[in-house]
Amino acid sequence: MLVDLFAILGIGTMSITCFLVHYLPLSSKLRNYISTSALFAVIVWILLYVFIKTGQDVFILALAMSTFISSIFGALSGREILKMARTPKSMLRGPEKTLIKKHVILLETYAELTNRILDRMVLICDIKAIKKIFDGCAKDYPILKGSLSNENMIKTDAVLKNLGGTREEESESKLLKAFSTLTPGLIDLYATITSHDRATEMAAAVISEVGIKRHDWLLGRVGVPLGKYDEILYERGVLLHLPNGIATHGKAKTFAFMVFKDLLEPLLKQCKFGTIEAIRNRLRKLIERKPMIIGIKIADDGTVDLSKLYMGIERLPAEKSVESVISASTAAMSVCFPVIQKDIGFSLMKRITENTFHSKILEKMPKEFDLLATFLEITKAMPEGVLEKEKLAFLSKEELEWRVKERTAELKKAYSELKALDRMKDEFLDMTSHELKTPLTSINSFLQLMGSEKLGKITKKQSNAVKTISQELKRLRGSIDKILDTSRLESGRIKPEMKNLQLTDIIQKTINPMKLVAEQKRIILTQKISKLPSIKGDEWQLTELINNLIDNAFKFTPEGGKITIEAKRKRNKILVEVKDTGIGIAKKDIPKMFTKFFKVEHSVPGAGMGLHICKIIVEAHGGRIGVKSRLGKGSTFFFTLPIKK
Amino acid sequence: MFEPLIILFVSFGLVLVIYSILNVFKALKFLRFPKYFVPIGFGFIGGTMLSLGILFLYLAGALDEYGWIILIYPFVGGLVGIYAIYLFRRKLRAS
Repeated sequence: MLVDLFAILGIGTMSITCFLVHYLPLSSKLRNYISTSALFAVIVWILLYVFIKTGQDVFILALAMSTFISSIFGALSGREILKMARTPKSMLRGPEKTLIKKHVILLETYAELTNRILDRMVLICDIKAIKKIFDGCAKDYPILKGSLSNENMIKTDAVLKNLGGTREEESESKLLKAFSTLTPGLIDLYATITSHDRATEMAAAVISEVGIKRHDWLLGRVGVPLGKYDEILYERGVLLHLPNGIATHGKAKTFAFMVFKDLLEPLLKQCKFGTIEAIRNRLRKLIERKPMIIGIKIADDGTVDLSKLYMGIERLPAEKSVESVISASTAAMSVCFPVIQKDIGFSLMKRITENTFHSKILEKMPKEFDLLATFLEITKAMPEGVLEKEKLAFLSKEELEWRVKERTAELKKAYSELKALDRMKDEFLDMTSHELKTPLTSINSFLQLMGSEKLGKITKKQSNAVKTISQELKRLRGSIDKILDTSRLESGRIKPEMKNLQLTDIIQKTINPMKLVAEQKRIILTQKISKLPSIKGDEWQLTELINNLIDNAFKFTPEGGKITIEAKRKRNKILVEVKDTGIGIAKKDIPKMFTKFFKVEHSVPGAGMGLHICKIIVEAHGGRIGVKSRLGKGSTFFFTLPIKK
Repeated sequence: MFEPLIILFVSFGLVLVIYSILNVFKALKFLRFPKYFVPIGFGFIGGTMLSLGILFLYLAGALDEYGWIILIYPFVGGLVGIYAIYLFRRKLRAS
């Protein structure tokens, strides 16, 4: 009786359980394994009941066989569960995705990658250096504390313990950050001991051992688990293994977005979170027009992840031309730049792009492929001024070199021509000086003889004429001398002979002969000279300077006017002012006052060289010259000379 | 006369069940709500132990007499299984 009761209840409940298994969120394969196992378990109990009732041994044999079959399906179920846990890509897409702890799978995958890297590293690297990298990372990411075992392997239990009760999403983000620093750091260490190429090969080997699918799952989930090595491997894998022709297109396509990443990432890393968010929004809007950019992922810290986009490009049909990819990348750049510029400013933006862009892109550019056109297309969309240098550089190296050579040759030619002209000018001036001054000396001598009546008696009218000729001759000689002096001063042929001087003495010596002229012209000539320290200067040049300024004042001051010469110390300089109550200078003429041959009043005698000579002399002495004036009220010419100890 | 065959099947079955339990145990750390997988594991172990029990009772010639006691297990196990599936589904729906 009891046997019948328990048999009915047991077989009944087990059958219901077997049926309910189909309602579990599992893949159909796993569900079938479990339910088949349970079905044979039900058969076991049926056979047991039949054996109890009949006592025939054959039912026990059937029972044993059913137990065996049930165990086989049980084992298959167990294996499937583990397999799914280890091949997360399929499981996370399947109905059992709610069962999986994603962060644990992430950790396991990372740990496997890292352990395989460590396996190779311990053979050639100093353990202390490896520990140092771990300690450094653990400082920034505490979840890695104590994660390196004595056997130099990642202790996933320790990491899980450090994560504690952290929420799954948060754990994922923490793991991502920690391992994205740790793993590439370890490969970098390997690269310093071996070489960059061998490190990349090692990364490729590790990926193939872990399984391309698992790695790609990681790649799709977190971007680039091996950092730059993933990007290099991607480039090699996708670009180099494509057949000819397609490879060319592939290169151009990925290159367009490589430019995008290399240019944008360093800029985004300088941006505020709000700016990154704004850029994401802009890119989201752009997807409507350019669906190709859908794979662009920008992290909060500004990291640009293009792994999904690369995969998308790889799958693009042949008819999607290079131009359409380039157009998408340039459109993406154009929407990003204005926002970035607003945040970090144009100058910083330009500085960053200048530092990062050029060399990196050139390094990556395949030599055999002419990407000039591609690049120019991309750069067209960039804001003016950002990549001007690069644009120029890409005009082709040869063309640039040729242009530089051509310009240099032109400049050399122009320089030698100018030098020859300058020499000719000097020779001309020397010759003119000699040719003009020699007859003038003879004329002057004869005029003196005529004036002193040594050549015979002359009338009063003739005497006056001789005097006038003599005065004009003197003026002519003065003009010639000034032109020559200017030329010599400008060319540096007259070097100032610097010695200690008392400027007071020079001013005094210059003013004394002028007093007579002042009396004749009925001009009041006054001086206000304080006690001045000695200065270093050329006596002849400074005399010429003061003489020119006072002479200039006399020229423009009418009868009854006043000329004042003031000299005083002003801090570590001496200030000399020559004030007059003359006609003054119009405002528009003031800036031209010290230029060569400039004359305010053409009726006033002179070559217009005096003030220009003054300027050259003052500048040669390290001083400054200037003028203050009001039209009709008079002018004040001033200069300063430094007091040198 | 079937005794060696019966011993062979049950022994192989036992090995397979141990293998599957180990797999589930390894997978447990990847799975959420691991406490619901524990009764499943115990169910497997229990089933296997009972198979051994059936074998021993048969060899001892006592299966006719005490076999009904073993039939209590599928009843209890079935009830627990139904309840576990119900709880599991509710939990998954909530998450």
